[in-house]
Amino acid sequence: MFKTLKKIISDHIEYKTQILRLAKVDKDRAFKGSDLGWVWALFKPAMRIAVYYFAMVVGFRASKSMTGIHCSYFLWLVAGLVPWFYMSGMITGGAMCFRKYRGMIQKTAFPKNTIPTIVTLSNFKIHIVVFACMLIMFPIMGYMPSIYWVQLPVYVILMLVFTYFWSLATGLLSIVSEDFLNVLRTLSAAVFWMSAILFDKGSIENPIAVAFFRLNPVTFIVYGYRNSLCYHQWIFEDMTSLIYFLSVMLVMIVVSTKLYSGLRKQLPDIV
Amino acid sequence: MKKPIIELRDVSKEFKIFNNNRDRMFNLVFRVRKIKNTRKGVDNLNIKINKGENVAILGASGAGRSVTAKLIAGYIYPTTGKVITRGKVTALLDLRSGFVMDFTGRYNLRTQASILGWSRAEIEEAEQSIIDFADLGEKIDKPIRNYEKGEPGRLGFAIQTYRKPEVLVIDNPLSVGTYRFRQKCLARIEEFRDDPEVTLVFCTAMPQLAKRMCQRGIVLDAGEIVYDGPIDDACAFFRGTILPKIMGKIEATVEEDIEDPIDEIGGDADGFDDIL
Repeated sequence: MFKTLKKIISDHIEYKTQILRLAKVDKDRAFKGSDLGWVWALFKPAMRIAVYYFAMVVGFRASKSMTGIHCSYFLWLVAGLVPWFYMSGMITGGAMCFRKYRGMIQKTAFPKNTIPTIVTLSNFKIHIVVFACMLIMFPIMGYMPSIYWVQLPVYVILMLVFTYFWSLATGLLSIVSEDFLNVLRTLSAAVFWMSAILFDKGSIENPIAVAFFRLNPVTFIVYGYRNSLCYHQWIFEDMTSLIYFLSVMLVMIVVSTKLYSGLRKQLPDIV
Repeated sequence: MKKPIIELRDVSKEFKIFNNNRDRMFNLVFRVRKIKNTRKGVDNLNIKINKGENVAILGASGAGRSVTAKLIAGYIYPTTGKVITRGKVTALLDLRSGFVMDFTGRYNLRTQASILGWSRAEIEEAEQSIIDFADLGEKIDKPIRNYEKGEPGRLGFAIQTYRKPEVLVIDNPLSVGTYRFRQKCLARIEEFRDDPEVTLVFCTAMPQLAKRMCQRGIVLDAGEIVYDGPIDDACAFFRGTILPKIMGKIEATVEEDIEDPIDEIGGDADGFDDIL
């Protein structure tokens, strides 16, 4: 496993220029044929935020019960939805990465473990733009940046690393089983509702729900963004959540590297 | 004594055939080693190729030529044995691989060159020469989707062969473009052939082409090496032993729907007469 991990890291260092170029091509492909192009990267999340805000504030009146946040309910919502947009794209997009790059796997000697990185970075480029817009919104709406913002890059890096290994594992399993991919597509909606994105996890007392939030990496990242931007809490103030997240990530790393190690040589034959 | 630049040690390649994905998943999870249905690609290949050698791998369709080319290029992995390459391999196996059809030729050229590790300055310097070699003119700024048959392959060849390779692997070569372009391609490959720094592995079913390009010939039949020696003798062996088997098979099954004997022999004969 360590040998495989070492190979993954060395391939990424050796091919970093090519990976960045291919991530650019992947992003360009996403908007090819569209006259609005990049504008969709902002328009889609903006629409979804507007719809959720309408539902939660006008419909559920959720903003009235929010306490302990150093920003408006709208910004609290945005701070949770922005990382979710990226992660939801990676739940299925990451799982499709090897299918998408079938040609590259069969017809080149390019290291296959870099393919999840290409997809991760391509989606991340879009996330960075939305992320920047989110950060700009805070001072515009009267909430100045705080010292807690400096830990945002930590959550971003943890999110990237997690989604890479997630894509590596699920990408390999999706090649072998179409059913697995269908399960992921179905679960994506469930994960959204069960990650405390639209409601405050602090208000939930049900022990099963609390345990699920602890083990759910999406909840950790969403609340990492929120802790930095809204709750003004340091990452080390909730060591339990951090340890749970790192444990889940370690399991993901072990599973994905073992899968890759076992399937690497068969990949061009089965994809 | 210098080590060979390409070495295949007891290399075998077997393709597992599963009835469905459920069986494949079962094999993956429970690590079942013995699979009932397999297709042999190559069997027990032992090949050593020294730097600067020009080697033809001759074989009919299904003999294992393409599998051997892909193993050397690193596209696929052996089931058993080891493939060792001690130089950078440039493979002309699928000249259009990596092209995104919706983007222009120029965009794809820059992307492919970037993937090959060229810097921005190197790409700018090489761009026009590649476009000129591929004879694309203004079409370079049109989406590849709109190119005529053969044009993407011309661009791919021009990009892949712009720089001198250390090891050049070619499989079923040169079925791209016009007669004039094929002559240009052959001229370029012949430059590499004559360069002692370049090792050429030329997979073909055409003995005449193999003789023109190489000094050594390895003949494959049903995935195994049946001859390895000087090219003249290898071609004679191929013509004397392998071709009659294929032709005999064609005659015996003349009632069946075999459209073109060349397909059975292997390779694309379009335009080869005018090359040779």
